[in-house]
Amino acid sequence: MTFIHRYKRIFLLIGMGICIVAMIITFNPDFRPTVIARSLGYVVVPLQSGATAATNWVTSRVSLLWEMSYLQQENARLRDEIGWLQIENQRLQLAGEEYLRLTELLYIRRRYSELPIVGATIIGHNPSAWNNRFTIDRGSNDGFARNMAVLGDGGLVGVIHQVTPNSSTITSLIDDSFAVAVQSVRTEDTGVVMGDSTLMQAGLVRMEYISTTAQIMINDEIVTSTFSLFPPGISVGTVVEVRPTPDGLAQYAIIRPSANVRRLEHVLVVNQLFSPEDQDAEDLY
Amino acid sequence: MMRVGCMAVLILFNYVLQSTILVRVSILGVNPDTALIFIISYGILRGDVEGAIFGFFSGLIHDLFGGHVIGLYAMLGMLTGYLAGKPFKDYFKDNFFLPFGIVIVASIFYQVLFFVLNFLLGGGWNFWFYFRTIILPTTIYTVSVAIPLYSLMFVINSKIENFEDDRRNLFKE
Repeated sequence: MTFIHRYKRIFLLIGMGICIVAMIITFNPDFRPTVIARSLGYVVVPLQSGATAATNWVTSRVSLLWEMSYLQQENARLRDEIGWLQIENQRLQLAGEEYLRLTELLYIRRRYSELPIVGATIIGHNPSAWNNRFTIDRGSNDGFARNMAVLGDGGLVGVIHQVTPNSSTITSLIDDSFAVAVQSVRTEDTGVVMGDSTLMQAGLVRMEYISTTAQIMINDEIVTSTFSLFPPGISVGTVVEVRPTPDGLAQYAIIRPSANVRRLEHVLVVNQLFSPEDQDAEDLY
Repeated sequence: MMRVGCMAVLILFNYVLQSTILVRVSILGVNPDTALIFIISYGILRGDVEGAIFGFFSGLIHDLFGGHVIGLYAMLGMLTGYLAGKPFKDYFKDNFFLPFGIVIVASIFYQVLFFVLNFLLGGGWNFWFYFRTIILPTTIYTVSVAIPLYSLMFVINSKIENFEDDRRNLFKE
């Protein structure tokens, strides 16, 4: 120990050197030493699950007391709505059957409804305010792998960054290391949605590389495109604002994600890897 | 050995609590950085070398479970622990207001350094924005929980030191 104390400056420099080399190596996500995270995961993940379950229980009990009267009103309103929805549902079923008949005629296959989807519960969040990442309670034991899409709350939530046998780390779409190729539904203008840490607090994302001739407008719906790593046609969000870039060579848009990433408890993972090469265009239209 | 075991459990539990319960009590989108308080407390109580080791492992677990790269938080923790323990011999360890000042300085130092490293790894460059929305709120929130956590660390540390002294006396006789 006295040896370390005598040469502590040198040890500190060696430690910093190791850290810097590790940062440079693991900048490529393929080189992450998941062995260590995996073995630690067997200790940390059960603890996280337990702590999250306990927090959820306490929060739900406390909010129950506050919301009792409101719940009664809501229950009555929902009963009325169910009656109306049943009628609506019957009408839509008829329309859906007709749609299926017609699509079969046109050889259209919609991949979106056939995606293998697995549900998972969020058990922990990255405590740093600089990033938006979270941990879910399923991992490679359920067939998850890096770069799989994560959905929830009616839209894209993020992408799997790292898997261990019993947990996965998700980079959410508002984190500034996230990017996905997208297109507008109405005009089919393409772009890339990226997380931006200056918009992260507001829960918004930025869509870059929109051409100046694109006719993109506020309230346009943005979905993942066929060039993305994710299945095409997943809702990403709606346009809030469109502006030209400072150099005037392109436009960018501010997008409000369909999924409220900060309020999620459960997510759906698309248990299949997609790459732009294996999607042929005829298959989609 | 006893000390290493206790500190490993403390680091592990702190990470679990920080990632589950403390994210629920976030104000203005920031959470108190309890890991930073423990690193500083340990540095103050045990000196620069042990502070740096504690900070390194405390940061490493953060890197392994949610970091973009491995080594970023480990390096920050190591430097913070080292600097907090630097004037080790000049402190009165039971003065609970001393860590208060050190936490303010260290928290700002830690996050400004994070900003620089994050920028080098491809993050944003708008310093005043980050200072206003992340660095300042996190510092205030962290400082507000610093004293109880320092007292906790002080109690744990004196328990371990008593235990170690007993052992040492046993060996002597």
